[in-house]
Amino acid sequence: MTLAGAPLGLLAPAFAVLGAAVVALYVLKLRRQRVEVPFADLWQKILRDTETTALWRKLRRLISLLLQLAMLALILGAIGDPHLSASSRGRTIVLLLDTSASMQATDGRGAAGTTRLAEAQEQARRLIRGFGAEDVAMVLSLDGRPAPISGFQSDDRELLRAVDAAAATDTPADLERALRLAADALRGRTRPTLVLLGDGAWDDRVLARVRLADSTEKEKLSTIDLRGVDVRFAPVGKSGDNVGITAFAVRRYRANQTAYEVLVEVQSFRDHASVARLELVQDGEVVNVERLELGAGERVERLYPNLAGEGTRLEARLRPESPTSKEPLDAFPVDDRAYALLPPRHKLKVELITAGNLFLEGALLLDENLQVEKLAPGNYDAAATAKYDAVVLDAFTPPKGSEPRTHALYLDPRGPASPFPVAGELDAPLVTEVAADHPLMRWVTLKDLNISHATRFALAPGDVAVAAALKQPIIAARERDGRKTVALGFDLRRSDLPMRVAFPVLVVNALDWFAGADTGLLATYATGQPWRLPAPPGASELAVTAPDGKTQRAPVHDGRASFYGSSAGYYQVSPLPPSDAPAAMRQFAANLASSSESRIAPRAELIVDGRKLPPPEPGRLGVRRSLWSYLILVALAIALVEWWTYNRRVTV
Amino acid sequence: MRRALGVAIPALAAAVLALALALAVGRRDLVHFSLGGRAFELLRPSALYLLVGAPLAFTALRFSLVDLTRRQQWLSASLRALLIALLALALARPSTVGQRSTVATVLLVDVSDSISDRQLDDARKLIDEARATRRGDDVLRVVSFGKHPRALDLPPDGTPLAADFLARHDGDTSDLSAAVQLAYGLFPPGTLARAVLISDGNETAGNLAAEAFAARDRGVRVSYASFPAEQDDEVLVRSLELPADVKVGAPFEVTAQVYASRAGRATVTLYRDEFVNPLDGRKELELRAGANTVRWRSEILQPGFTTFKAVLSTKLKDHFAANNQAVASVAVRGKPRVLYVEGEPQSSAYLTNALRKESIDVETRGPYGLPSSPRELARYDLVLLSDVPAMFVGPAQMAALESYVRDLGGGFIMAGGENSFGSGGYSGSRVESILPVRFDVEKKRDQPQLALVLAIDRSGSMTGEKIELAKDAAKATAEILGGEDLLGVIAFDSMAVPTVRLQRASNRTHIVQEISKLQAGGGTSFLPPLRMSFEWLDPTPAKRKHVILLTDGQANYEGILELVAEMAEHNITLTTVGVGAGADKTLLTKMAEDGGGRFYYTQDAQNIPKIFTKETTQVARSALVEEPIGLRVVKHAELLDGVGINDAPPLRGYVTTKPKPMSEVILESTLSEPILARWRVGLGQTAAFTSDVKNRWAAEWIRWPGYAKFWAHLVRSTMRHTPGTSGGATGASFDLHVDVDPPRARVAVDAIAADDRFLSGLDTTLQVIDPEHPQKPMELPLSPTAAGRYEGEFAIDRYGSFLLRAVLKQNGSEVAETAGTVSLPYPREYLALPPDEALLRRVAEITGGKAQARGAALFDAAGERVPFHRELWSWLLWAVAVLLLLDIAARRVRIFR
Repeated sequence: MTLAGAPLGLLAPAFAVLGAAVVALYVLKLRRQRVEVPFADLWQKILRDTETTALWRKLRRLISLLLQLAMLALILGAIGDPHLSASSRGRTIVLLLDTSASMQATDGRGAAGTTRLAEAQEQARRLIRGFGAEDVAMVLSLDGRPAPISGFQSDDRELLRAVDAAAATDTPADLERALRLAADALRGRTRPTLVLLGDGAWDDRVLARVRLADSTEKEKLSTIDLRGVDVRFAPVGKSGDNVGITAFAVRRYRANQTAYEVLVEVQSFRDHASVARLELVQDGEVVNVERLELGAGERVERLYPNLAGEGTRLEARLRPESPTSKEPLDAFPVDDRAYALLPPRHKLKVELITAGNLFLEGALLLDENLQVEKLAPGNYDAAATAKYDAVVLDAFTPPKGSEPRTHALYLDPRGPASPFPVAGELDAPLVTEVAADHPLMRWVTLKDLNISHATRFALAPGDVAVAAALKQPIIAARERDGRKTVALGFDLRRSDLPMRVAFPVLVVNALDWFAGADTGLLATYATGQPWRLPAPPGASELAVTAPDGKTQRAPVHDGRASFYGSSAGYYQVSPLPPSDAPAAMRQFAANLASSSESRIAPRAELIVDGRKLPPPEPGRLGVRRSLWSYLILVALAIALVEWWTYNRRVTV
Repeated sequence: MRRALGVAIPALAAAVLALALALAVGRRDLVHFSLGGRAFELLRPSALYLLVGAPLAFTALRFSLVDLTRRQQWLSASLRALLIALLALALARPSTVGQRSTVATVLLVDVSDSISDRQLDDARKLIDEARATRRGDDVLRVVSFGKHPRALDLPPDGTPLAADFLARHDGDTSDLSAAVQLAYGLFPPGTLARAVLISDGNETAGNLAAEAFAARDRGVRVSYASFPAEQDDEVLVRSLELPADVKVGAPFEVTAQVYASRAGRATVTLYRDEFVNPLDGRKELELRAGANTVRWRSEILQPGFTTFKAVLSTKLKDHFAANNQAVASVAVRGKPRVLYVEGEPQSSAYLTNALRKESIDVETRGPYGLPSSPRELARYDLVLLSDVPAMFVGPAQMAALESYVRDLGGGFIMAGGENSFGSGGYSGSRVESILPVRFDVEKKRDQPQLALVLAIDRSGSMTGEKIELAKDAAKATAEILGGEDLLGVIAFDSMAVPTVRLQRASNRTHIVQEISKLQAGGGTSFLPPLRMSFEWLDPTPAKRKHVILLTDGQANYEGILELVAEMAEHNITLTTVGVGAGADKTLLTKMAEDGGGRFYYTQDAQNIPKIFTKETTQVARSALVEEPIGLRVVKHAELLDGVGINDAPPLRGYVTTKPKPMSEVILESTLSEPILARWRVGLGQTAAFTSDVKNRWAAEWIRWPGYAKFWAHLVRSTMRHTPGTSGGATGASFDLHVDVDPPRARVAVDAIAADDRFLSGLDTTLQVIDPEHPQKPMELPLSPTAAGRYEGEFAIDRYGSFLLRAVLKQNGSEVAETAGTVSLPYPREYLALPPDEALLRRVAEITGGKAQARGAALFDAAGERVPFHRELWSWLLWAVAVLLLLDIAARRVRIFR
C-alpha cells in the first residue's frame, strides 16, 4: 500500500486536530430543552426507562462519536490516495488493434457501410469496459508501423480514448513487428495477455513463426517468441470478396530516360469469376478503358509501354462492369484506385571541360537527357560551374581553390590539385577489384580492361575505390557535403574503355549518381515503408504535403529525404529553404499495392503454433488499485446511515 | 399528512435531480463545462447520480426525534445534504484542464555487447545525473535494451543505484527502434514525452530512422547521448567473399576481410564444407592494424552447394570470439558443356581428354556436326570449331552460330588448322564477322608468287545455277588473290576458250567483267583447257603454279593423265572439283592425285565458291605459316593465370590473320601475328586460336602439362558468362538485390532485357536454400511491383549463409534464373563498428531532440506545454472534513433557541 496523495505527515496531524475537535464537541454537554409536561405518570415511566438505559445511552453516544471519527478517518485517508501494490492476479493486456488498410473494408457487423475498424473499435470498447479492476492494458495499432497508442493503463477512459482515436491507414499490416513489440511490452509482466483484434487477414508466414509453447525444436532466429503469453483473437469482418489493383507503378527505361513503362496488376480474391472495368485516367481524363474478366483468384497484368510526359498524373480505377452501376465493386474500396505519376523530366546541365575528346563528347551527346556545354580548359571558371548539375573535366585539373562548385567527373586528374591525391603510377594495370554494388558500376563490366598507363589514388576515409588494380584504386568516388566526385585515374585515349559498351554506361551512371536518380528507376512508392525521396541540392529539409493536405517536414541526408507515408495518393514536395528552381517543386505518387493486404478474406479463427486462439475473456471483478473512491463510498454510506440513526435517536 | 408530504417532497426533489442528471450526464464518459472562464471536466460523471442522496437527507426531518429547534434541524440537514453532495461530487472526479510543462523522460540504455563495461559505467553515471537534476513533477524511467527492451524500476530517490542495475541482456543485437517503441508506453498522460538513447548508435536490427518519424508524429523528442569511441582490442573476420560465378573445376579466389585493432600474427584457415580448403588452406599472416585482405585459391569439383568458412585464430587480445569466423556459400552449376566440332575426327581425342580432365563436358562431333538452330546450340556453353572447312558449314549453321553468340551469349572459339579461318574458306562469311580477326591477309614479300588458272566447265549441263555459282567462285578467287598473283580463267566445253588471259590479279575489275560474260553450252573435254593452262603457266616465273578444274561431267580419258604428269614435272599442280552426280569421280581423283592437288566433290553447287576460296587460300599458302614459332604474351589476361604460358613449347604453325580494331590480342607469334585473340559480340564472346589443337601444329603442346589448363581456362573465360543462367532462352542475367534487416530480408529482382525492355508478366519464385538442407528450399512467390521488378520478403532462420535463386517463368517455361547469396555469419553486433553518431543525430533532428543530452537537458520542456488534468477531489475532501466538523457542531451546540 502506498500513498499517492497527501503525505502521512500532513494527514496524521490533521486527523489529530479535527478528531480532537470532534471529541471536544461530543464531550460538550448539550443543555436539554425545557419542556413542561403536566402528567406525572408519564414522568415516572420515562425515569424508569432512563434508569434501565443509562448504560445504553452512554454507548449510543460513543458509537456516534466513533462513527464521526471513522468518517473523518475515511475522508482524510482518501485524501492520502492510497494505492494497493501491484496485484499478481490482474492481467497485463496488450490490445493489438488492426488498423491496416484491410480494416477499411466495409463489411463490418452493424449498419451497412460499417468498416471493419469500426466493428473492431466497438469490440475493443466492450472488452475494455469488461476488464477487471486489477487489469492493466495497452493499445497497440497494427499497420505498416505498429506502435503503442496508449501507455499501460488501468484507467478505462485513457484506453477508450486511444481506441476512439485509432484510424485505419493505407498501409499493409506488419504483423511481425507488432507481435515482437507486444512481446517486448509484455515481457516480465504478470499474467501477460495479448488480444488480437482484427480481420485476421495476416501473413501466414509470420503467423507460422510464432511460438506459444516451449518446444523441443531449436529456436530459430526468425521465431517470434510469445511463450507464456495468453494470446486471444477477436475476429471482425464477414466477406472476403475483393478485386483490387495490387500493383501500379511507373518505371523509367534504363537507356531511354524520357520514356516510361507503366504496370498495372489486377487480382481477384474471389472464389468465383468477376468482371470489372479498368480505367486509366491521365490528368483527369479517361484514356483507356478495358473490360477485365477475372476467374477465381486470377491475376492480370497490363503494361503501357513507352509513355512519355512530364508530371502527368496517372490513375488506375477499377469499377463495376456496368458503367451506370453505383454499386461498389467490392467491400474494399482502397485498392480499387491506384496512383502514379510520370516524373517531370529534368535535363541535366553538364559542362564539359576538354581540349577535345571525341569519345567523351560522343558518349555525352548521345544522351538525350543531357544538355552539354563544351569549354576549353583555358576558359574554365570555377564560379560559373555552380549553375551546372555536373562538370566533366577531361585531362584538366583546376588548381586548388578553384574546384568545381558542383558534382564533378574527373578524367585523369593530375598534380597536387587532384581531388584524390595521386599516389603513384601504374603501367598496364589490370582491374582486379570492382565495387560492384556502387551505383557507378551498375551494368558495367571492367573485366580485362586494357589500360596502358594509370595513376593510382590515395583515398581518404569515406572515399570509395570503385575500381582498383591489386588494391590500388584507379577509379574513385567520393560523396562529401552533398557534393559527389568521381575520378578515373587514366586517360581515355590510353585505354580501350571508350571502345567498350561499359564506357557510355559508366558516364551515364556517374551523371545519374550525381543527379541522385533513383537507382531502381522507380517513381512510385509503396505505403508503409520508409521512403528515400531525392532532394534538390542545397535543401536541408523537404516539406512533404500528404494527400490529406497535411504538411510534414522530412530532413535531408545524403541528398535524400526520409519520409514515411501512410496514405495512398499524390504527395507534393518542396525544398526548405524554398528554392526558385522550377524543378524544386516535385510530386510523386504512393500506393498500397500490396496483394497480401488486398487479400481481405477475414478469418473466423486463427490457429497459431497448432493452437486455436480462444476469444478474449472479461476480467475478474476485483478491487481497483486506487482506493480513495472506495473509502469515500464507505464514508458516504456512513453519512447517510448515521444521519438516519441520529434523527431516530439510535445514536446521538 | 404532513409526514407524507415531508417524505414526498424530498423524494420528488431526488427524482427530479435524477432525471436532470440523466439528461445532462447520461452515460457519458466525460463531462466538460466551464466556470468563470476556466475549463473543467468531470472524469467520472456517473458518480453524480449519488447526488440523489442529498435531498433524501431532508426526509429524516419528518421522522426526527432530535430535540433541537426546527431551524437548527433544517440547518443540520442542510449541512448533511451538502456533505453528501460534496462527497458525490468528489467521486465524480472534477478536474481543471490546464497546461503544464512536466517532462517524462525515458532513458533508453544500450546494454548490448558492443557497449564496453566502461561505457556502461558512463551510462550509470548519466542515470545518476538525471536523478539528481530531476525537478518536481518530472518523471524519470529507465529502459535497458539489447535485442529486446526491458523497463527497469528505479529505486526511490535518495537510494543509490544497485550495482547490477544495468545488467546486460539479449546482447547479440541492438534494436534501438524497439526500445523507442517501448518508451511510448511509459509516458504518463499529461507529460511531455522525451526519450534519450544512450547508445553507440550501431543498430543491428529494426529501423530507427523510420521509427523517428513515428516518434515525431506522437510528439516524442528523442535525444541521445553517445559514448566516446572506444576501441576494444578486437580481431574479426568481417566478411568472406566469393565470386558470383563459380564453375566446376575452375579455380577462383576466395577473399576474406579481416579487421584487427592492432597489428599482430594470426592464422586464418579456410574451410570448404567442413574440410580445410585443399588448394590453399591455412594462412599465417602478419595482420596490419585496420583492414586486411586474405586471399585463397580454391576450386569446386562437384556441382551443387558449397559453403566456405574462414576461421581466424590469434593470440592477440580479442573481445568477441563470435566474430572470428565468416561463412559464404555458393551454388555451382554443373560442368560447362562444350560442343567440339573437329574437322579431323581422328585427332579430336587430345583436346577432348584434356577438357574432360578439367571437368568440362565435351561433346565431340565430326565436321558436319554443327547444329543449325540457335536453340540446339543454346544447350552448350561454348562451341569450338576446329579445322572444319567452310564448305561443311552451311549458311543456316553460320547464322545460328552468330545468333547463338550475339543474342544468347554463347561462347565461340575457332581453332586453327589448314581448314580454318581464311584457308578454310571462311573469308567474308558470317563466321569471320563474329571473330576478332580478319582473314584477308596481305601477301608477304617472301611468299612465292602464285599463278593460278581456273578451268571452268561450261558444257550444257552446267547451265543455270551451276555456271552462275562457278562464275561467283571465279570472281571470289580474283578477290582473294594478292595483287601480284596471276590469274587466268579458261572456260571449256569441247574446246577451251580463254576467258581471262593470265594476268595480274590486281586487274580485278577487268577480270570480273570477263568472267561475267561466261555462257554455258556444248560438250565436255578436259584436254584443251589443260593444255591451254600448261601453255600459259609454264613460261610464267611464278613460284607456284596451279590449276583448278571444275566440271560436272565426264570426258575422254585419252592423253589427260599424261598431260597432268607432264604438268606436275613442270611444277604445275592441279586440283579438280566435281559437281553433281554426273562428275567422273574416278578420273578427277586420279587427276588430282597425279597433279599434286586435291579432289573435291560436292552434290550442292552452292559449295563451289567455298571450295574455290579454300583451295585458293590453301594454294596461295599465304595464310599458313608452318615453322616453329615462339609465343609472346601481349596482354596478361586472367585466363593465363596458372597456365605457365612462358614455359609453353613452340607451336609448329598457324594461320595468318589480322586482329580487328577492337579485339583483344592475348598471344601473338614472333612475327607479330595473333595466336590468341578475343572480343565480345553482343552478349557473347568469341576467340580465335590460330594454331591448332591437335598433333599437327600443337604436337609439342599436347604433351605440355599446361595444354589442358590453357584450353580449360580459355573455354571457361569465353563460354556463356551469365551467372546462374542455365539453358535460359534469353540468357540474360538479372540484378538480384537483397536488403537484410535481421531476421527479415527483402529481395528485389530487376528483370531488364539487354535491349532495355522490362520483362513483365513473369511468374517469379524465390528459393531460399539453406546449404545445410539443400533439398528443402523455402519457396516464396515474388510479386511484381513495377515493370520488370519483382519483390518479396522472407525471414532468415539462423546465422549462416544462404543461397537465393529467383526463377522467372513465362507460361510455365523457365525464362531465366538469377542467383544471389545472403550471408549473416554472426550477429551484426560483433562487427566492431565505430559508433554511428550520424544516425543518432539524424533521429534527434527528425524528432527535435538534443545531441549529447545530459543533466538538466534531459528534462528540458523546450517551451512546450501539454494539456493536463488537475484533479480537484482532494480539495473537495478537505472541504468535507471541515464540513463534517461544522455538521457535528450544529448538532452538539444549540444555536437557535
